Amino acid sequence: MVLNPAEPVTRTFTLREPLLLFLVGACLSISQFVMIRDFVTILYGEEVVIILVTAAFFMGLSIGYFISLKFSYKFFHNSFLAIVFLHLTFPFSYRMLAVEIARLNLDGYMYVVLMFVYALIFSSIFAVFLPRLVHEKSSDKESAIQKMKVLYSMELIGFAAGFAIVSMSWNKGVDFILPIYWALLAVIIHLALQKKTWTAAFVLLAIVSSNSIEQVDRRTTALLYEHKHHFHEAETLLTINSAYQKVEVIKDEDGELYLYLDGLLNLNASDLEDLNYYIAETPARLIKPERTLIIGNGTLSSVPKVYPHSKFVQSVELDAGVLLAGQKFFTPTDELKGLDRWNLIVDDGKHFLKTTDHMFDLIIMDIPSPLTIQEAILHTKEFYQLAKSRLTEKGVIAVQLSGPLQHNNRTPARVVAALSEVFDEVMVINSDQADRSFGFASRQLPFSGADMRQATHEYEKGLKIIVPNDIPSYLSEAVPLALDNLDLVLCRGLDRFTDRYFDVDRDPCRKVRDWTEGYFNND
Amino acid sequence: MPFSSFTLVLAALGAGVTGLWAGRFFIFILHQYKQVDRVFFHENNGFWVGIVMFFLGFTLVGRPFVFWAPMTLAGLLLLKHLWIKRTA
Repeated sequence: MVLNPAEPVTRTFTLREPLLLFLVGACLSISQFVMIRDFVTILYGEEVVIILVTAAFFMGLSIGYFISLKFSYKFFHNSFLAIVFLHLTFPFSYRMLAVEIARLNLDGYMYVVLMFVYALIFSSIFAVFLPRLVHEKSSDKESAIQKMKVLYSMELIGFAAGFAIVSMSWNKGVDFILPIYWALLAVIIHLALQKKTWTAAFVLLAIVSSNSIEQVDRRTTALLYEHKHHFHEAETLLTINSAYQKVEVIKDEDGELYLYLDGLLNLNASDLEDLNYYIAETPARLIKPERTLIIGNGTLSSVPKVYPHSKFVQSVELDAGVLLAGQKFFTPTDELKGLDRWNLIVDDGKHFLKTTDHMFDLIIMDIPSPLTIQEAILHTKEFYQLAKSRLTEKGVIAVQLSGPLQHNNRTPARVVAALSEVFDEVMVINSDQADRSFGFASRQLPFSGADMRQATHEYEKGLKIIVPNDIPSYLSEAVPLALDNLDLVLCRGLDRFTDRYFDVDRDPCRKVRDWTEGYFNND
Repeated sequence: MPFSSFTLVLAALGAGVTGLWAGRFFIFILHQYKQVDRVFFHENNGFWVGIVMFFLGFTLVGRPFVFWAPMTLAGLLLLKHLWIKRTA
C-alpha cells in the first residue's frame, strides 16, 4: 500500500507515486474551484467574502501540511476514506447545512464556522500526500530532495490539468465537473489504498449519485434562496459557473425572474425596465447617437431600447455565462433578430476601449455595483479617462450609481466625484421608481435639465434632476474612486458582511477612522 | 501596451521565469528544514497571508503597494538567502 512505510519499493510503486500526486493536484484544483464558488455564493460574493473563502481554503491546506506527518498510517487510512466518501456529498451537504442555519435563524458566526470546517475537510486531505510520500522511504536528505523534485512537479502539472478541466466546465452546471472529479477520486482511492472493495464501493456510490446531480443541485439552490434570501417559493431555472462567477436565474412564486451573480442580486425583471429606461433609452432618445457602446448589460435587454435611436449599437460583455442567462430568460433571441446595426463582442470593457479605433456618441455603463476590485476599476477616474478618449466632442457616458446621490462619501457620491474629475459637466437624476440615481457626464452635455424633464415626465413625475452647477455641493465629502483609492471595496464589503452576519450596524472602516481621530485628538 | 497581446505573452514568460525561481528555492530551502511538511506549511501560510495582504494593500494603497510589496519581499528573500549561505 502506498503511504504505508511497510510497503516494499517496486517499479510499479515508483510509477504509482507520481501518478497519485498528479491526480491529487488535479483534484485540488477542481475542489478549490467548486468550494470557493459555492461558498462565495452562499455568503454573497463581495470581494471581502471571496478573499475570506479563498483564505479559508488555503488555511485548510496549511493544517493538512502541519499534521501530515503527525499521525499513523491507520489514522490516515480511516480519515482519508471518511473524507473521500464525504466528497460525494459536496457541494450539496454544506448548501443544506447553510439552509438549516438560515431556517433555524442561527447566529451568523455559524456560516463562518461551517466554511472553515468544510475548507478543512475539502483541502487538508490533499495536502497530506506530498509530505508523507516524500518523507517515507527516503533514507537521507538527498533522496528526499530528489523525490520531492519529481512528486511536487507532478502535483503542479496535475493542478494545471485540473484547471484545464475546470475551464471546460465554464458555463455549465456542476453536473459536468462532479462526475469527472469523482472519477479522479476513485483512481486516487485505488492508488493510495490498493483496496478493491473501497474503490468499488466509491465507484458504485458515485455512479448512483451522478444520475441525480442536476436535480439535487437545482433543489438545494432553490432551498438556499427560499431560506437565506427569503423567497416564499423559489425555482432554480439556471445555475452555472461562468469563468468569472456563479450565474443563477431564480423564479419566485409570482413568476418574476431574478438574476444572481455569486449570490448577489444583479437584477430582477421589473427593475430591469426602469434601469434600461434611464440608463439606456432616455440618453439615446435625447442624443440620437451615431454610435452607441453598451458595456456590460449581459442580459442584452437594453439593446432593443437603444437600437431605434442609434445608427449603430456595439455591445461589449465580458461574461459569456451572463449572456447565456440573458438570452435564455431575459431577452429572447427573437427580440434581437434582424437588428443588423447591432454587434456583440465578448470582451473586457477596458480592453475594448483601449483597442478600438471607433469613437462613440454614447457609452452606457450597465455594470454591477463596485463590490469587487474588477467592478470597482470600471468606476474609477482612470477608467472614465479612458472612456473619455473614445467619446466624441459632445459624447456622453451614462452610469448607474447603485443608490441615490446624497451629501456623503458613499458609493454614488464617490462615483460622481470620479466622473466630475474627468468630465466638465455631470448631470445626475434620482429616480424613486428605479431606487437609484443615474449619472450622465460629458465634455459638454448635449441636453439640459429641462430636456431631461421633458423626456421623462410621462414615465416618472417626481424625478429629481441635479444639473451640473449643483453637483459640486453634493461632493464636499466624497473622495473620487481611483485605482490608488479603492478602499470602498474593502469598507463597503466589510460593512455589508458584518451587518449581514454579525449584526454590526456600523461601517467598520468608519469605526476605525473615528477611533483614530479620537486617539490623535486626545493627544 | 498593457492591453496588447504581445504584453500578455511577455507577462506569461515573466510568470514562468518567476515560477522557475520559486521551484528552485523550494529545493534550496529544504536543506534548512528537517522535514518537508514544514516547508510546505510555511510556504502555504505565506500564500494565504499574501492573498489577504494583497487585497488590503491594493484597496488601501493602490498601485504603489503592487510595485513595492514584491520588491521589498524579494529584497528580504535575498538578504535571508545570503545570510543562510554565510551561516551554512
